[in-house]
Amino acid sequence: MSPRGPSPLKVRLRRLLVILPWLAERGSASLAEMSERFQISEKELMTDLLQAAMCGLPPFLDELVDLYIDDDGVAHLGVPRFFVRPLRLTAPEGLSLLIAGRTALAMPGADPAGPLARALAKLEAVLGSDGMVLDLAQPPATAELAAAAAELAEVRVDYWSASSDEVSDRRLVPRAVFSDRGRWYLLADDDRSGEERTFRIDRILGCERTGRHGEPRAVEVPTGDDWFDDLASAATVTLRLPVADRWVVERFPVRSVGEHGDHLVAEMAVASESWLRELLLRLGPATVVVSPDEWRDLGATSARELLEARYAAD
Amino acid sequence: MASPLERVTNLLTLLLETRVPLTLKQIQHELTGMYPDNPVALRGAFERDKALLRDIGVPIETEVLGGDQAGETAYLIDRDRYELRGLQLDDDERHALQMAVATIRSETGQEGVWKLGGSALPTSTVVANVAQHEALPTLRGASGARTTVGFRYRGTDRELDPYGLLLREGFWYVIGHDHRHGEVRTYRVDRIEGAVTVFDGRSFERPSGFDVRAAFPADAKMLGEPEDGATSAVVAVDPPLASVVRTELGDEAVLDPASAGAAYAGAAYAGALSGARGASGAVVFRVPCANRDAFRSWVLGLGLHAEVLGPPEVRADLVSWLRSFGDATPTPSVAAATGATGATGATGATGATS
Repeated sequence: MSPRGPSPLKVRLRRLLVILPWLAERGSASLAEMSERFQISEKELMTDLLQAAMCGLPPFLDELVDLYIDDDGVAHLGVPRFFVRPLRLTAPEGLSLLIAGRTALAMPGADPAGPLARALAKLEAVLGSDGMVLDLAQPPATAELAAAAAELAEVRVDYWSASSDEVSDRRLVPRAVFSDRGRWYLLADDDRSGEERTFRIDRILGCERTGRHGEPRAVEVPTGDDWFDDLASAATVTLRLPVADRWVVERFPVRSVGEHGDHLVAEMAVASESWLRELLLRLGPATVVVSPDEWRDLGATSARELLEARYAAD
Repeated sequence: MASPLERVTNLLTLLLETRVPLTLKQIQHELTGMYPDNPVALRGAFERDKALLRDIGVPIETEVLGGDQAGETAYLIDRDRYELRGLQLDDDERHALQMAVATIRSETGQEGVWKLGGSALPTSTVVANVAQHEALPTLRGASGARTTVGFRYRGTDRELDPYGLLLREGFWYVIGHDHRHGEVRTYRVDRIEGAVTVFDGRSFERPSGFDVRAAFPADAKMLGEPEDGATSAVVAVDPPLASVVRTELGDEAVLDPASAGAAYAGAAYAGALSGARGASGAVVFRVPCANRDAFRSWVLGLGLHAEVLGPPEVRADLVSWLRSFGDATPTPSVAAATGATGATGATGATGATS
């Protein structure tokens, strides 16, 4: 959020066009407050405001924006003739607000008649109707964990781990819940590893508060594709798969992907061997592990194991 | 010479202020000394400023003049279209919307929040990574206005009456009447190639009672043609995954072991429940399986913890899938030859699109 060097002209103008109406409504405000509110350095803010004050057209030379900044770092705006109202919402901005509102309204515990619903109704009235539906179903424990994260309330959970294939009893301090590609995750301090870990909420089988609380600290919630790669020591597998199975490279983060006629070669991050085993079983024998060697037979071995364990008599 | 910010701000003000559209010559005259004198440089500088203003959403109207200025283009901004109006939020509403935008962490949404008088976004303990795509605003607009759109998809031009948009499993889909195919089709928005064209003047009626969710298969395992055979399978799932599956499918999918047993008496089912795994509290579910590929993906995701009990042909399908691993020699030529039969995937993404 804090770009190095001066911001591009476009960003500066856009920001000026939201700051001026805001200032017009108040008459005066400190540079410090505006700097925080609009995510801009005080220096840059001062430069831009002073330049705006220079603007003028005949017969209003230099008085288009009647503004000065006093010695205490407070900007004062006289009776404004221009930029009293902000620029209309662009289509992408309107869409983002609608998506945000509908997403938050689909969250556990959202009040369907509360302030957000009212804001959304007003927004929809201005932006027009649409046939846009967001499907954001969450596992039942999501609401409880979100509330625990807000209060830093420690919880005791039973968690089924796919990599170890066992249920473990853990104490977690929830930091955030997040969704990515349709799945919900919990970011929490894990007592077992003593580290921050990510848990799939649909694999949390039981959950209760312990009564203890964690200490506040800043956390970074992963965005989109990057979080899979952030997993410590994630190994890489190179797969050769039919083009028809392209969904794999769209659904899971890939480190590289190349297309060669009727097949793809993808380097993928492997969170755990069990994850890869499951993927290979799903993809079938048409997908080949190119490297590393120890996983070349993983799919075939897993298929044989499953046949023996479950379908030996067939 | 004025700074670029000063010049473009002055241009914006001039075009907002004027009652009649202004030609570039008039603009240059009004903004004395701000634009270069050289006609080519002047046009270049003006075009850059105009593009910048349009880029941030300023609606600049153009008019081609007649009379003694015939052929010249003149410019103006309609103040009514420029200003944000009719959206008065109360403080609690603005705050709620700002928190909502914090949930999706959208920079574009932040711009909107500022325009509505909000501040920098706080950090949120609930975050939804919702994909944004540049085609979405256009598609939403066209869907709301009931206007036909065109786009390129998998190398073919499509014409679609966009009935609605759906976000599911992290992907955006546009659903509507496809003119070429004469039926309702679903397209993944992020796979649209290039820009979406809006065919202004070509409007459509959305069928009354059209439900976007209903038009899109709710469950990838239900995709496919029901006449293919069995539409549901019986699957035993061991603890602890049984509770995960119960959460996913709902209590109504749980079968009474006795009746399930009667249905598949004599088959492997008896063995499943009497075996060590079955005895330890396996739960039996009825699971949609019309889309056999998606069903197989789903059940394989449960690894050794699940067993397809029936119907026999569904079980046989799975067994032959597993056996095919043993048959195959993992060489590229085999991979290519069997490529077309690959799994569809549980997202429904491939299966649902055309």
